[in-house]
Amino acid sequence: MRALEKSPASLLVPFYFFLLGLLILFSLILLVQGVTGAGRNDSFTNMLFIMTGLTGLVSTFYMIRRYQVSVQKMLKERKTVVLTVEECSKCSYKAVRPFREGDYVYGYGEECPRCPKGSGDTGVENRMVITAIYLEGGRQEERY
Amino acid sequence: MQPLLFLGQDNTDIGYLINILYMAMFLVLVFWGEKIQTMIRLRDIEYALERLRLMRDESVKFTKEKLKKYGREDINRFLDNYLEFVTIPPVDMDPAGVVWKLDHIVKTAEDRVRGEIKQIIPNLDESQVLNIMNLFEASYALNYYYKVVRHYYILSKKTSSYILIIQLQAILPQVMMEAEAYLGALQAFSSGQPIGDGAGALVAARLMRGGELFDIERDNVYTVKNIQGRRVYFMKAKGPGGAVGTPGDALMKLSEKESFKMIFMVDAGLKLEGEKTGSIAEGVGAIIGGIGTEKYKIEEVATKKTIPLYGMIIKMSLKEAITPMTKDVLNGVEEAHQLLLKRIVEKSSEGDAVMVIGVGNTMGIAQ
Repeated sequence: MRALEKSPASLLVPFYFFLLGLLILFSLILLVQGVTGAGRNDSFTNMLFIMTGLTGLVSTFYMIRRYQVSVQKMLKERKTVVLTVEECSKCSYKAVRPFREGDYVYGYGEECPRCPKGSGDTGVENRMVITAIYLEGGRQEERY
Repeated sequence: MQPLLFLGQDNTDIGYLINILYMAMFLVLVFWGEKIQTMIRLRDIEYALERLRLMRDESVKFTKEKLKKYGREDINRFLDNYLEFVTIPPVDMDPAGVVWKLDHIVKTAEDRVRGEIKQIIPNLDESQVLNIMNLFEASYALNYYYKVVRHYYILSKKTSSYILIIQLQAILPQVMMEAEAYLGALQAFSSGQPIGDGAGALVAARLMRGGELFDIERDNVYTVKNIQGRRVYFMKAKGPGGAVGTPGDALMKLSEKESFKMIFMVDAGLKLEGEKTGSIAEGVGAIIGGIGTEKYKIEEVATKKTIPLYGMIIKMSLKEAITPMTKDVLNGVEEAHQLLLKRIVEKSSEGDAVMVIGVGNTMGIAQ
């Protein structure tokens, strides 16, 4: 069997996390410098170091979170509920149930619970007709 | 009072270091600014490419899982080969007759795929074969998107072409949207659920109910009904498999024995952003998508016999067109059904023969 080709971008993720690691390290150094005030008596500069370090840390964690969310979105199983509408042609009884494989519009569904089954009924006489099959929720999710 | 100092303005070692860093950054941006932007844009493309690869793999895996129940390993091999299947369009230097050549090539390709699936799994019925073909086409489309994007990504990287990178990045959201739509279509294709594109076929199916059905040409059925004294021919692709039929061929054949006063066509159409799903647009012309061969045949018949072509479009997005039919589309079908009956009576007179074609993929819709 032919193996599916690999993407040239498969090394991207480790490299991305390596860069994020560097950013965290740099931010931590700035933060420590700011807190300890090494080599300065200037509180304003220390404050700037602290702010820069914190900003670096916050933005790094934001980027990690964004990556997590995008991966979750990508891998999230698309759970859609498709419904089948059945109608009895004799008594107009209508029922809605989840779609089952083999259902199709104007095909036969289940037996009508209201209409009594005649003794001579052997085939589709008592079965409801599928009049619609549609996606629950009304509209498709648009991500872009 | 302490003067306002910015990072690097104090005369400490750290201050000097930061000043040097600022200057270095300035020089880097002057000389390598475009290179950095290119890298950032390439990173975005790489991310999208990786997503496309995941989608392609997921679709192939899903299709193989679904085909497991038939217990035939050959079908997996056939799917892998099908992903690289090519259909070469005819030469169009001399355009006369190119439509018929294209029609022949497309039908040959379809016959070959259909025949091979049947050969591998002989006990499949026609609907199942068509649904498997639709599944294969979704995987094919995803593989094709991935390969084309990868091609331009590698090419732009090789040539360091900034313009190529920008162009590729600009079309990526559209490509991703279409790829997402194909991925979302897999579930519907595998279980034979009606899709949005079947809206036109569903309108015809509603109107055909109770009539005697006749097969005509490849994958089409029609029925004739009397509506207020008019002989109305309703035609659609034969369901419930995922077929689109050949309405052009069928119309050509039917028009030999019947002289139609008008032709009505109903089809699903792509909406513009901001338009409401399920809304109806009326118009004139052959309302049918695809490669254009069926459209050509319908236009030929209509022009030669001077038959007016009227049509209705049920609007939806691409995603809605190839994923399970939504309630909005279903409401549009109901509206189009009522409107069509009204227009048939309004535009024709008693005794006229009218043709109604419900265009679209009839997956999950009988008749």
